[in-house]
Amino acid sequence: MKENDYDIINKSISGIFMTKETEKRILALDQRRRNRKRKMCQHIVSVAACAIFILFATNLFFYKSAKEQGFVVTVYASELGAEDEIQLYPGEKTLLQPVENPFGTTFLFELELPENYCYEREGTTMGNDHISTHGTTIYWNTEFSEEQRQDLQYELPDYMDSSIRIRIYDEQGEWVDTLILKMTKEDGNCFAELLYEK
Amino acid sequence: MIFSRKNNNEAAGEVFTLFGSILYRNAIIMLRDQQDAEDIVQDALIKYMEHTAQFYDDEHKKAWLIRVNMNLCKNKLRYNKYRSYLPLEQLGIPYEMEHERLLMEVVLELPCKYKEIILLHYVEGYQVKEIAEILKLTESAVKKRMERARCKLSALLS
Repeated sequence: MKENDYDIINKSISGIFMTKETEKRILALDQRRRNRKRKMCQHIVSVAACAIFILFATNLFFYKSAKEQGFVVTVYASELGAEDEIQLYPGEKTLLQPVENPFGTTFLFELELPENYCYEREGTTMGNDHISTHGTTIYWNTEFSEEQRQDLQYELPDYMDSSIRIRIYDEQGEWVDTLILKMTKEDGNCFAELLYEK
Repeated sequence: MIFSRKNNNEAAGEVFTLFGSILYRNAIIMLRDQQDAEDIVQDALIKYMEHTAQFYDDEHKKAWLIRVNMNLCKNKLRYNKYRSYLPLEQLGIPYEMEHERLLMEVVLELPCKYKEIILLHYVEGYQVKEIAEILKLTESAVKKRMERARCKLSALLS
């Protein structure tokens, strides 16, 4: 490489010039800016869509149903005791067998949670029934005796429902799941259904 | 210089008149593609329009534009790793003799970190210290690169 060669490089590169068309194209800056903005918007939208998709897919992948996480709800009528308990599965409407006595039947819903988990819920009413909560038990006091039914048949509709929303928190106090216990009364029959939402 | 949006295009036009050819030829050498070079010069001008910091003088402005232009070229090269290069004739690089053509082919073959040093030193006439400021490198790094660029040129020519 001779020193003269650097002068040749200088001369050749300095000799590069723009044509009028090139100048015109370069100076069409507004068009370029608009295109850049549009591309940026498309880019942002696609990145956001990807992020949402990943979030959704991850959630689906790691999501465990209430049952898988160890949240179990069992129900039994007070007189039958825990031996005849029925386990509720999400989405299944279960007919509850009443044990009639002069004071009606009380169904007890026992909620089992993993250790250190806690939940919050509220009591409610349905017709003349009273639904209350105490500890990990939900009580549904039904007015079920024949006498009471005859007294109330003109006052209460054939179909009634009420639900309790059970918000479950993990040991760190983070909300992890919501179970809905839906109680239905149809023509004097009691049904319970467990649903979960998240 | 802080200029309003209204005068943005005008200011960019002025800058283009002053430094447009420098930016264009640098982009041509860096990218070996006319269309890409036009895009890069446009982007550099848009960056100038959006830039609100103060310039001390035209030399400062020129150095800033060269740096932005070089960085945009490097981004483009990084983005399009597999590129097709245009021959010298289509790039509008003039040559008279075969040796000149060969020399330019060799310059275009250099890696971009050496190309930018050759451009700034032998074409734009910047000294090592100024190149270091423009490229945000240390002076010793610039010297080293210049030495390696010369070695590479010699090796390719031989």
